Amino acid sequence: MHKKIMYVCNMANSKLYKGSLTTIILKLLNESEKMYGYEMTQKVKAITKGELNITEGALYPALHKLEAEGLLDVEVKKVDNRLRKYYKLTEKGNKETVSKLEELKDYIKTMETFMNPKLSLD
Amino acid sequence: MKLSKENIQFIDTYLENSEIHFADIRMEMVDHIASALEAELELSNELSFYDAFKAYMVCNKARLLQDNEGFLRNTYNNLLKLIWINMLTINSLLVFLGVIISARLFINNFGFETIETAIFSFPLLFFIVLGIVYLVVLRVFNYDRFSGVERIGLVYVFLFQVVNALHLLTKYQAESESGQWIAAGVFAISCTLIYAFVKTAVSIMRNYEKEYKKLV
Repeated sequence: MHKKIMYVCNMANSKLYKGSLTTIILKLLNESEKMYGYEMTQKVKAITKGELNITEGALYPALHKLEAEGLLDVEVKKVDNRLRKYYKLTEKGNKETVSKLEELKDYIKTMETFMNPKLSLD
Repeated sequence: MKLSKENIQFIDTYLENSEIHFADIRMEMVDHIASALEAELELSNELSFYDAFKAYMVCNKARLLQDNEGFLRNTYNNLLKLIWINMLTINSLLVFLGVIISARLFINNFGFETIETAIFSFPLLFFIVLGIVYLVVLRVFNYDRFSGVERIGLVYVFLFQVVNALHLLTKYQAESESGQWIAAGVFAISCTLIYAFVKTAVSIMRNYEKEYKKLV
């Protein structure tokens, strides 16, 4: 029976991705007004074509930490017979997103330079 | 396919029986699991809710329980941070100053032994009364348990062990003038901590009430 079902017991993603989880969450919320946990995991999966899979065990503690730091605001709504917790960026969260994305861009640029060094004789 | 009220209740009860006792933690897990099951049931018409649920749990139960632990650790960190923030307010400073001066005058008039009893008994009495009220409210009104409300009690016990240890270290100098100031200081810290604790407890309860008013 289990073979029919498409749940995949995914292996943990690389530690490199784990270090960027906060930035990923902030970027997702920056592009939507509000999102809930499951929606975030599916959006990341879709954008990365299944390359990146965020587990609940990593996502929710990160969301709660951002909420405690005042970067996220929450709203609980009743949807389809259950309560759903939506997350959205606060003003502080918006500022932090800009700074985190800049930081990530710099990091990627540095890593690209490191991986493809253009050596010169000068 | 959307899950029925009974399906949602089944997931919630399963998680509660799996020792995920707090409603605020379960609520998010229930929605996550239900969303995953709905997506799976959309893909296959032959699949029943129970088969999909069983398959989901085979893959994810261990991770969900781990998530529960992580959530609780986070709750402790947040509570300690909130109590610390509430300790550093003007009101807390006024409570501290008011109590230290009153306690010093009290020691002068009634002796050190009286305040020593108060240092031990006041926080303990406060905790017992609060604990009894909480248990009675849970039983009588059949409220859900919330992680922040319950765990703040443990944080309180831990913090008062620190204050008591401080008191034990200083009590042998009680005969001296400086020792009496220290004793009054320890008592003032206890009272300020109680003030910050009550302020934190009220703010998290209000927050739960606002966020989860459909549950409470």
